[in-house]
Amino acid sequence: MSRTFRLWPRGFTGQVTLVLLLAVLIQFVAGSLLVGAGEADMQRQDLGRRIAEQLLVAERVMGAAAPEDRARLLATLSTHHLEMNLVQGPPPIPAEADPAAADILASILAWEPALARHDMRLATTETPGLDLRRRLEGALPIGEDQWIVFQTLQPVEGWLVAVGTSLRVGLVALIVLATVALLVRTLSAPLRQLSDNSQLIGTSTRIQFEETRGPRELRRLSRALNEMQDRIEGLIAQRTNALAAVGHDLRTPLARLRLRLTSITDESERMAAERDIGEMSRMLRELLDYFGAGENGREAEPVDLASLCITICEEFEDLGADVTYRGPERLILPAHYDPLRRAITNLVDNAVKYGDRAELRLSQQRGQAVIAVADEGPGIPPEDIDRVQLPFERLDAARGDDHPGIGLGLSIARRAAEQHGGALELRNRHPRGLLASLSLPLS
Amino acid sequence: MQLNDRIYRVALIEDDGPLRMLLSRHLRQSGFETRGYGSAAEFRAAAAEQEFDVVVLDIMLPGTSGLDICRWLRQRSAVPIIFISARSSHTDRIVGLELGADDYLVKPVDPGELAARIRSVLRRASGAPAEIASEAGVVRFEGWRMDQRRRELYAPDGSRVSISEAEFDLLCVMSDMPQRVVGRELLLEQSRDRLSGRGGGDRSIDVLISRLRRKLGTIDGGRDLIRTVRGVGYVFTPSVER
Repeated sequence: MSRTFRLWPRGFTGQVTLVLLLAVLIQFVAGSLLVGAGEADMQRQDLGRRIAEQLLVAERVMGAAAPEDRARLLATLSTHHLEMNLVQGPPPIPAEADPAAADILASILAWEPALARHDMRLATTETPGLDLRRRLEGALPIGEDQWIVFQTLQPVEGWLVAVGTSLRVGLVALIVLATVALLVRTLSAPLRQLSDNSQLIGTSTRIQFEETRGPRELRRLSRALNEMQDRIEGLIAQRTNALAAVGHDLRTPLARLRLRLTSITDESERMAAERDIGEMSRMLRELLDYFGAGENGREAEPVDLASLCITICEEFEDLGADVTYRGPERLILPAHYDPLRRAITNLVDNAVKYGDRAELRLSQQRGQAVIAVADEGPGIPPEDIDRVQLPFERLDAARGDDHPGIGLGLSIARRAAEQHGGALELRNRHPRGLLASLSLPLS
Repeated sequence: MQLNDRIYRVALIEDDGPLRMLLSRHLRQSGFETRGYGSAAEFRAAAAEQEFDVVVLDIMLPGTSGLDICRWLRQRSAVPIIFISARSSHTDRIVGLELGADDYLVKPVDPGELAARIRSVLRRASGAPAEIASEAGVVRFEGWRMDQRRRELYAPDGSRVSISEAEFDLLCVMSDMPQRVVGRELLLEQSRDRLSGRGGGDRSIDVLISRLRRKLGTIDGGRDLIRTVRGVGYVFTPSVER
């Protein structure tokens, strides 16, 4: 079965070429057979005619010549093609002609009906050696128990001629096939481009399909795809805008709430309420960051990554978290400051939330700066590691994820990594804990 | 230079009534004389009659946008302007600062942070002659460049160095008074809006200074940019250009 699959090409060009190859092959075989048959028939008639003419002449001469002159005259009438001898008594040639000889006999008699008066014999015999031709022997009685015995060589069989013709036809067919394959390839180029490009639909890269070139069907398809992209983008933009608008609108009441807290006299109550509001505004910021991340703030600039990591760690420390920094005092690389700051903050935030304490280690490895944030929490089940990096995906509550959040932190971090041509990797540690590594190219 | 010599007048333009009331109350508690206005028209009428030391402006207002008021104000005065906005994107921030605003805060504004930022722009406005050039608010020392409006710090090699908001404010205060002893009390006073409620105090200032030192590193010869004067305060050692 796999064999069949391999014989049947997967590409459009291959398939069309294969179909054409089959068509040409059928045409080629049928043509060869027809040409071969026609050729053989013509040769037989030709041979019959020649033999008939010479025999008729010989028969007339024999009839007119004196008996003692006959053998000498017949020898002079022999040609390179037809050798004739006079023999006494019936020659060892069967009276019944074999099928090949019968055809030639028929054409002889058709050309010179006068010869039909005599009981002519004709037979083919194999020639020794590798010669493909056969010897043709015949005898014509001329009365008085005298026979003209003649022999000639049967011409090359018709199919041999056909082979030569077929080879030439085959060569032409091959040239045709190659040209067609090339043309099909050219014709299918827009189709191939279309299929390549269509893979980008739904990614952030917008593809404008060519609507003015190529076959009509493809232009229609291109237009349909362009319209589909417009619709998809419109839908996404509409939802994004709606969510962003809600996010923005929520900020004003949140600001009011924050200010109202100052009137709460119970210190611990106020602190708790402040934490709640901090949580809410962080979630809002996450959401708006995520939707706004598409807009490119500004060009990459040299950033001291070490100071960024240190500042983030210190800010968490000030909030009472146990965060330590290990790494150089300075490490400079080209970066987008704000997205990077958000990414690292999210990683440390996760570590503090799920793992109680965090260690941020900054190092250089093989042309990359690696920010490794390790915690001592429960880690992530291996089957969920890819999923939690998707937007709005979180661990199940059943798995102990009762921390507030909307599941965008890792997506934002991953997007920042990709924006910098780097990568985000999550790995469970032994015996427990999670290691989140953000690697960024140094140049 | 003490900021408490006189009462500063703050104009607060915010269309959300309750928020305006709450912010005003809080700013008054922080020692500012605050007037609230619900629309651009109201503010313009008031601005014709009296002078303000700082204008705090919501970007999204009914009718006229806060950006228009900012433009209108800049045509006639150099009064410090602080935007508060529900929009947090980088582009929004840049547009606001390009129009000549001095600072940009995102809602929900931490009240302490707002007071700190107001003090910070007031200090800048009183320290240097008002200028609305592109380089306004840029301070240089020993190759370092500090953009006070964008709140960005660049090392001599051109790389952006990250420091916290509180550290940034401290650096602003100290670079205003270079090569002089700055008392711990003054620094504490400058940071009180942020440190309130965090159980800060003298020790907090020392922590901030040591963090700042670590990030600034040492200049040639191993000299610290910030020197401790035991028992009194600190000296910002380099000379400062504006």
